[in-house]
Amino acid sequence: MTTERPPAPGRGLALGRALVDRSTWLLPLAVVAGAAVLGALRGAGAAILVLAGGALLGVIALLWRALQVLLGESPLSLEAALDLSAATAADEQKQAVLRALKDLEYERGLGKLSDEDYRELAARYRAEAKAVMRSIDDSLGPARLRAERLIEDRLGQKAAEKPKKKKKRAAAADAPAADGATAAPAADADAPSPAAPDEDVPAEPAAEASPADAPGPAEAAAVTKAGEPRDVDAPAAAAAAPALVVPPAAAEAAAPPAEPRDEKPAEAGASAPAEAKAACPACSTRNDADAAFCKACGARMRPAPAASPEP
Amino acid sequence: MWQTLPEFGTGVLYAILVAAALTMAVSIVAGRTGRPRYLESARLGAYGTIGLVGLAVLLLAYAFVTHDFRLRYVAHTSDRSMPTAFLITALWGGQDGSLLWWLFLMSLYTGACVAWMKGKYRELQPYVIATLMSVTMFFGVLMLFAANPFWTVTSGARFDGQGMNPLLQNFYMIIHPPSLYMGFVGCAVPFAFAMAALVTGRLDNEWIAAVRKWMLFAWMFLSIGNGLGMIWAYEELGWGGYWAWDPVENGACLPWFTASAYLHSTMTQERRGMLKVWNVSLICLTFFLTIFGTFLTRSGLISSVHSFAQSGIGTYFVYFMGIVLGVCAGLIVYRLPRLRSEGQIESIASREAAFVLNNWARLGIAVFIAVATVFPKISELWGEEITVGPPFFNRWIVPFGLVIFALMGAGTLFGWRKTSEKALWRAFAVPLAATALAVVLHFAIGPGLGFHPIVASGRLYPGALGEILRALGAVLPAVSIALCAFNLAVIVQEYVRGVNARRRAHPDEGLATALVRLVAKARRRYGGYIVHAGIVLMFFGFTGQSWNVDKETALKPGESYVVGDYKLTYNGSRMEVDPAKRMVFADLSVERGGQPYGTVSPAKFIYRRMPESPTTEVAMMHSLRDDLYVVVGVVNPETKNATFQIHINPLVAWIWMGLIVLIAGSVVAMWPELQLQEAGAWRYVRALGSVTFSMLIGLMLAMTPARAFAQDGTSSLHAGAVEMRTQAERDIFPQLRCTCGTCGRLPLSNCACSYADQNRAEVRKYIETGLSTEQILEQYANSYGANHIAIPPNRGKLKAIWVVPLAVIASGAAGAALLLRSWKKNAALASAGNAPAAPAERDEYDRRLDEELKRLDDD
Repeated sequence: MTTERPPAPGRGLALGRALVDRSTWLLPLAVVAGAAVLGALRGAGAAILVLAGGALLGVIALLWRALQVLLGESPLSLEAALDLSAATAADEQKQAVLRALKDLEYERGLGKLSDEDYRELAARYRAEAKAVMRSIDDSLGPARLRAERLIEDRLGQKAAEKPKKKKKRAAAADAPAADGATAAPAADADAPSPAAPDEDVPAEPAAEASPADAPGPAEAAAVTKAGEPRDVDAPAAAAAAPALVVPPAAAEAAAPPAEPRDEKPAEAGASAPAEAKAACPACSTRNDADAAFCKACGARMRPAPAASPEP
Repeated sequence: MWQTLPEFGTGVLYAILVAAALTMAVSIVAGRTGRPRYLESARLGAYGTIGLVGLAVLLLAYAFVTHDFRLRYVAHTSDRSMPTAFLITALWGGQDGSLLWWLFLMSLYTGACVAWMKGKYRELQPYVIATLMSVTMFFGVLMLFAANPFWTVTSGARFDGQGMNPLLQNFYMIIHPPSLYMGFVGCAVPFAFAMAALVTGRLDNEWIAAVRKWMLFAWMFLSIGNGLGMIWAYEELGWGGYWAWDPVENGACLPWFTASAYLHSTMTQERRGMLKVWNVSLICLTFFLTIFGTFLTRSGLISSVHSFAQSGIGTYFVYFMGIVLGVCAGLIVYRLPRLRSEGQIESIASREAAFVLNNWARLGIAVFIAVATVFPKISELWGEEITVGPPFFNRWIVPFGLVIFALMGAGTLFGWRKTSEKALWRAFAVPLAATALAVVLHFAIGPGLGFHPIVASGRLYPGALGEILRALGAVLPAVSIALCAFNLAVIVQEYVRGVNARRRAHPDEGLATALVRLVAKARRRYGGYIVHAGIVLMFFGFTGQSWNVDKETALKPGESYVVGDYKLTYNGSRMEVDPAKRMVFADLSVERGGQPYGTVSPAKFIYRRMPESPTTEVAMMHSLRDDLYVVVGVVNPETKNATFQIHINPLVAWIWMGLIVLIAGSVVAMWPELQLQEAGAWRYVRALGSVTFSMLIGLMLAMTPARAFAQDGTSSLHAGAVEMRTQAERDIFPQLRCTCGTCGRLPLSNCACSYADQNRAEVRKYIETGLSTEQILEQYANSYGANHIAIPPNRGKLKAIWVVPLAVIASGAAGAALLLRSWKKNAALASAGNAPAAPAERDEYDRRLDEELKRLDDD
C-alpha cells in the first residue's frame, strides 16, 4: 500500500512502514508456510496450532489497527480514502437508462418490438437519459462552488491565523499541488475524489460528484454533509485539489501554472462557475470555460495566444 | 494452552460477540456521520471478527485432532479410531459444531463481501457491515448460551469418544447439508444490502445491482443443496422417490422459491424502476425463510424424518425471527413513500406483467407449502393432531408447479414495456406449434412406448374436490410433456432469433462465433435461458413418476421374471463379512430387449451395532429411458429363495441432467461483465480467476464430506422399500403412518421397521375383509389417532390447510390484477400527456448519449 503523500522524513521510518504494509501478505504467508512445515514434521495438531496462532496474531493486528484508525492515531492513507468514495446514484440511473435503450434496440432486432413502438419508446428513454445527464452536470456546479468557497475560507482563515507562517505554508502547499497534478492523470479513469488523506472528511458529497463527468470531484470531497467546513488543513486541501484555487496567500509563493499540463488539472483549476462552459470546436464536448484543451478529444480550445500566461 | 482450551475457546466466542458488537456500533456511526475514518475502522473490525471466527474453528479442529474428550462435543462426535480427515469433518458433524461452521461460512461470505465493497457503495457499506455483524452476533449469542461447542463434559474427560455411526457415512447424505448451508448463509449478504438500502433510503438500482450476483450465487447453492438432497433420497434411502415433502425439505425449498422470484422481479426494477417494495420484501422474506428453515430443522417443532438432536435453541430462533420480521416490516413501512414505482406499465402484454404473474405463482406455491408444513402445529391449537404427508403435497402442489412452468416459458416471449399483437403472435407461433405437435405425438406414440398421456390416479378425498384433484393428476403427464415441448421451443427460438439478429448486425460472424458472442454479450439473459432449459429437463424427469412400474416377486435360484422390457434371472445369494457388518447379496442378471444388460446385486446389510434393523441396499441400473431399481426383501439362508421388489422409474436420469444444466446456466449468468475501459488482460485474468476460485471454494465447501448432523437418530434408516402386493395396498399405504414413534413420520409405504410390518399386516386384513379406503383410514385413525393418517381429513377446520393458501393466492391474484390495472391506467394517462412526443432537436447531449451507447455496445 503506497500513498501519494510526500515521503516521510526518515528513511528508517519509511522502511518500517513498508514492512508494516507488506505484513498484510507476509504474515499469512509465513503462518501457512510454518503450518505446512510443522504439519509435515509434527502432524496435523501442530499445524493447526500454528494456524490458530497466526489467526490470533492477525486478529490482534486487525483490531489494533481498527482502533487506531477509529481513534485517529493512525492516518488514513490516501489510497484508503480514495477507496471510500462512491459512484453516484444518478450515475447508476444513467447506466440503467442506457441499458434500457440497448435493450430496446436488442428487442427490436429480435422482432419483439415493432418499429413505431421502438421509435416512441426510444424517444422517451433518450429524453430521460438526457435529463439525467443534464442533472448530473448541473448538480456538480453548486457543489464545486461550495467546495471552492470552503477551501478559500479555510485558507483565508489559516492565513489570517498564522500570518507569520504564511510563506512556509504556501511553500508546503506547492509541493503536494505539483505532486497531485502529476498524479491526477494516472488516476484518471476511476479516480474519484482524492480526499484529504489525513482529515476527517466525509465522503458524502461523492453522491453529487460523478467520477466520470465531474470536472473536479476533488473539490466536492472537501464539502461536509451539512456544508460546514471541517478541520481541513491548507496544504492537504491544496493537495486534494491541485491548483484548485489561487488564494491570495498562496499565490505569492505558488505561481499558478501557466498552462495546465493536461485536461485534468485544467478542469480542476476552473474556479469559474459551472455554468460558464465552452463547447469544443472539434467534438463539441462541454469543457470548462478556461480549458486550453478539450477533455474528450484533446483539441485546442482557443487560439494559442489566449492560453499564454497573464502578466 | 492445552490445559485451558475449553475456556480459551469459550473466551474466543465471547471475543467474537464483543468484536462484532463493536464493529456494528462503529459502522453505524460511520453511516451516520459519513466519516471515512470510521468506515475504515469498521471494515478492519469486520475482518478482525472474521479472524476470530476462524480462530474458534481452528481451536475446535485442534481439540478434535488431539482427542480432547473433555469437550462434550468432541466426545460425542469422534473417537480415537477415526482418521484425521474424518476428525476434521466431524467439526461440523453435530449441532453445536455445525452452528460454528455455519457462522464460519457466514464469515467467509462477510469477508468476501467487505473486500468486494472496497471503493464501492460508500453509502450502503456501513449498514451492510452492521447488518452482517448483527447476524454474527445472533450466532455468537446462540453458541455461547445454547450450543457452545467448547462446553466440557460434566463428568470429566473420557478415555474415548462415542464416534460416528458407521451407518451415516454415505456420500450424498454427507454432502447435501453443507451445500444447503452455502445457499442459506449466502442469503445474508443480499439481506444486508436490502437493510442498508432501507436505512439509507438509497432504494434505486444501486443495491439491486450490488446484490445481483450474490443472490445468484446463493440461489445456485440452494438449488444444488436441494438437488443433492433429492439424489441422496433416491440413491440411498431406497424407496424409489426423490422428494418426500418432509418439513425439513420443505423448509429448504421455501427460500429457493422466494429467491427465484426475486431473481426475476429484480429485473423489473432494474429496467423499469418498478416493484421496489416487492423486491425489498422478497429479499427480507428469503432471509427470514432461511432462518425459519433452520429453525424447523433444529427445533424439532414438527416431527420429521430428519430426526434432530433436540435442544433449547428453538427459542433463540423464534426471538431472532421476530426481530428480523419486526425490523424489516418497520423499515419497509418507514420507507414506503420512497419505494414508489418510477415506471408505469405500458401494456399488460409485457414482460414486467409476466414477471408479476410469475412472482405471484411462486409466492403462491411457497405459501401453500409453508402453510401445509406448519399446519400440524396450527391444528394443535384446536386440539386436532394431524400429519400432512407426501400424497397431500403431490396432489396439490403439482398443478401449481405446472402453472409456474407454463409462465416460465410464456414470460420470456414478451418484450419489455409492450409487445404488439403481431409480434406476440409471431413469438408464440412456433412454441405453440411445438406444443401441439408434442401432444399429438404423445397421444399417438406414447402408449406404445409405455408413456401414456392419461394415467390412473388415486383419489385424495371423497367428493367433488377429490374428483377435481384426481382428474388433474390423471392428465398430468399429457400437460407436463406438452409444457416441456413449449418451454423447450421457446428457449430454442430465443437463441435462434438472437443469433439471427446478431448475424444481421455482424454479417462476417459464423454461426458458432455469433452464438458465443451473443451469450457473452448478454450473459444473464442467455444464462437464464440455460437455467430454464435445466428446469425443463427436470420437469421432464418429474413427469416420469406417473409411469412408475412396481412389481413384487419371489424367485428360486435360476428362475426369471419379466417386467417391462427387462428380464431378470436370479442366480443365487452370497454372504460377505467385514469388521462392521454382514452383507447378504442376491445376484441377478438382467436382459433388456433380449440383450444381456448387466447384473445387479441388491443386498441386506446387518451391522454389528444394530443387528435388529438390517439396512436395505438398493441395486440400480440407470439409463436415459428409465432406472431399474431392485430391492431384495427376504433371503432364505437354506433354500436361497428370495423375494424382490422391482421398480422401473422412468426418466429419473433427466432430473440429474437438468440439475447439471441448471448449475451451468447459473455459472454463465454469474460470469463477470467487464467494462472496456478496464478490460486489460490482467483484469480479465483476475476476473476469471476470482470467479473460478469462488466457484471452486464454494463447490469444495459444498462437497466436503461432512456428516449430516441431522441424521443422529435412526429415523431415515427405517426408510426402505417395502412389500406392496396389490394396487389397493399401493393406494392406501402412503396415506398411513408408521406407529413406532421413532421414525418421525414415515408412511407405511416407506417405513421398513417391524412396527410398520405389523401395521401393514393389519391393514391387509382390512383390505381382505373388503373395507373401503375411507373405512380403513377411519379404522386406523380410531386405533392409533388421527395424526397417523398422512393426509389431513377434509373436514371442519382442517379444511383451512387448503382454503387458507388458496385464499391467499386468490387475493394475491386480485392484488396483482389491481396493480396491473393501476399501472395500465397510469400509462394511459401518461401516454395521453406525452402522445405527441415530437422528436426533440438534437443537441450536444444526443451526441454524448450516442457515444455512451456505442461504448456500451463495444464492451
